[in-house]
Amino acid sequence: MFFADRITVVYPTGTRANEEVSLELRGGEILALLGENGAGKTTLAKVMAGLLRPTSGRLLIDGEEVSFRSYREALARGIYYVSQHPQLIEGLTVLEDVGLTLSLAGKRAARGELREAIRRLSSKLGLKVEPESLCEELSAGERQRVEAIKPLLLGSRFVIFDEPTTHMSPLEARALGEIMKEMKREGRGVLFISHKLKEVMELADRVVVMRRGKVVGGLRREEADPRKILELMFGEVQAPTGERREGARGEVLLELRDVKSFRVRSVSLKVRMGEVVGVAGVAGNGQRELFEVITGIRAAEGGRIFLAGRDITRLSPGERIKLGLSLVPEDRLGWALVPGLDVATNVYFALDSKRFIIDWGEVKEVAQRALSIVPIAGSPDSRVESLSGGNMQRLILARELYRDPKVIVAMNPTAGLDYATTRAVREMIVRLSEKGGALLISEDLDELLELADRIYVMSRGAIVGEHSRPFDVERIARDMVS
Amino acid sequence: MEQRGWRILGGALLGFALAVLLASIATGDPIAILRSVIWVYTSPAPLANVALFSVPIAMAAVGLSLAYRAKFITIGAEGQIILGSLVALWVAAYSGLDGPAAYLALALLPAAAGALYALLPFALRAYAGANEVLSSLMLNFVAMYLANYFIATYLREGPFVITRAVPPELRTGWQLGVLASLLSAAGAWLLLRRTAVGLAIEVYGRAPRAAETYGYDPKRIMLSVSLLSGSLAGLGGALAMLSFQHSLTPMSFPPGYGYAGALVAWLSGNSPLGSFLASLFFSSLIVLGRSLQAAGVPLSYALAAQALIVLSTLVAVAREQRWR
Repeated sequence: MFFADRITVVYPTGTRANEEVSLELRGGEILALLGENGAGKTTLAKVMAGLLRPTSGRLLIDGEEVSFRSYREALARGIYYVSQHPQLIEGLTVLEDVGLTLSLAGKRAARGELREAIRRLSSKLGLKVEPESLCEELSAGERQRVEAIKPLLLGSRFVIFDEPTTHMSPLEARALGEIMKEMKREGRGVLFISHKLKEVMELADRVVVMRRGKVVGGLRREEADPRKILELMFGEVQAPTGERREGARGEVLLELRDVKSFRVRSVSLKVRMGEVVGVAGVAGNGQRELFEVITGIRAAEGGRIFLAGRDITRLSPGERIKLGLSLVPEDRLGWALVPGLDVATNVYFALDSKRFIIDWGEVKEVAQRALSIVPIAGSPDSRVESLSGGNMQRLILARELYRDPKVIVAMNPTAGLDYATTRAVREMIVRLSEKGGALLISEDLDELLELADRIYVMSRGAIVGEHSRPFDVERIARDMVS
Repeated sequence: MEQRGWRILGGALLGFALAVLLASIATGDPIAILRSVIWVYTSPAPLANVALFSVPIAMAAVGLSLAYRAKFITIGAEGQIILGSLVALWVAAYSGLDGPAAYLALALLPAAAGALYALLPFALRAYAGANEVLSSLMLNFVAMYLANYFIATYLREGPFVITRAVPPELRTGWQLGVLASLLSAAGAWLLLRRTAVGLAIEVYGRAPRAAETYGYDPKRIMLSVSLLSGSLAGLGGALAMLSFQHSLTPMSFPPGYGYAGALVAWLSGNSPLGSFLASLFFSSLIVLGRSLQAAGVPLSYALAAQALIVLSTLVAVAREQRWR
């Protein structure tokens, strides 16, 4: 039995990714770990796999406390972690890659024997894994298969799959399910991290749900029904009673008409004056690409985008900003802010009125004016990467508020922020929307239920539903996992 | 910054010690080797050479420090220097221009040649997606063979494959070149610290995604650093021609100043003023190598000694960069 005992992980940014999380994985079972993005599933898995040291808490195998200083030590103790994006080594053949993993775990195998073993296992499991093919030529599904074979060769007792089916076809996903069942029959413990209800219901013996860094419930297969799980995943949201706020029927400020691009199949939506419009969806369903298309850094392959009635489909990102588009990208450092530059410059560089000769006094003044709207803990001279995640986000919003935009488009603006900052950021978005409109692309359904006047649900690159207040949470959640 | 300086100094001193050791093994006379090292760094004649050779290196390095800050990793300075010196030679010895017209042409045309040549890797990257490291490197060879073609045909003078020489009245000493490289370094520093172009370079180099999202055009940034570094390298080539090369043969190329410039820019952490100083250091190693040869050290040992000094300096800098 593998037991994670009251694991707490606090990242250097202050994010509490795991808070006193306990989890028990037994041999001969498939345990599903469910939760939205950012719930802390991967953090927990990484702790269990020796990839991350917890701030506090301990790990026990068969009642004996273990402490992993590295992935390698975890490997040697019979734990295998299959990451969401398996990293096979490019330039090596499957055989060589598997051999390398074995030797990391302190096991040696002759080339010929290993080749035989891989062939035997793959035919037994009905997987097509060719030992001599090159790793970089494998599809995502094939890589997962190679990864799935490794714990069998290693004789790992506990196998952790981190959202393995995200990039798989249904057929591949089913094949992987069979492997998990086989592992279970052989007495291994399988931890299966997912946010897809359907596969979980098919495979898992037990379901544990995480939410905001905590375990919020565990269910046996018999008692688990989709409704209960959804409730745990998304929280018992009080059906929002609020009516549409005043002024939400103004002119259309942002409109997307059948926009198509990479991973975006078809998106049409409207944001009116005074309105907060949400785009809900499970991560990886084209939201990031949609955001990029709206900013202009990714070209729309079809459809039209209008900003305050003007067709901006072919305009550059800079021209869109000049017309009053404001952006809060999901990555703070590197996308919204420039590491290595100070706070003041980070306000200034994104503004649309810059002189050729830079007056640093003016830059500082501008920054101070922006920061008087939203104060942050940190001086204009400090390097931006020294700010906490919350202060970075406040800085970004200060800049965008200072810009006085028509429409703000924000993506996961409160991800990883503590409660107080989350409140503040949400207030700011509402404030921004009062003078214009806001499009909020978020994986946090609670956030959308609280802030949005309308919610579009995005799934596999397309808008699959539109919901208005009062929201029917169950229908939205169902659209999200459709 | 200060720590970086100490580290470079420490690394360089270690390198010198190793180099003296190596050269001593070659000749069996450490005292003579040590004496020639000290001679290089204390006597006017070798120091004037240090100043001379530093000019094309510094001009290239200053431009490259801008390009590298924008993460445009060109190593095309070599080819741009070659074309710059070729054009300078043509203006000085073939065009028939003299007086102010010649000075003006010498200030503008070599720089223009370098800038135009720098457009190629830029265009290949911006419009065809070709990696600028490879294309600029390959174009260095194109420039070299092109220059050799001109040297062997249109510019050839007399029975041997050699060109005319720069007339004495157009030759310069090291002073003009060092002044030009100091001014370029200061100009590049001002550009970075005080202008929107500099801000764009810094923003794009550190966070390309942020730059693009907030309205900076990557192509324009790459174009500006290409033109700036190309024209500086071209001018550096011209100054090398006027101050010490004077004429060309097919053996003149590759001089290696452009590659040295890339190394120097990196060594200085892409700082324009640091590039100026580091190019003096690098140039002193070239002079040192020559004086070691004069002291009886075989060429290969002299080159190895040079490489040891550069290597230990680089290691010292690299360690510091990793720690940061």
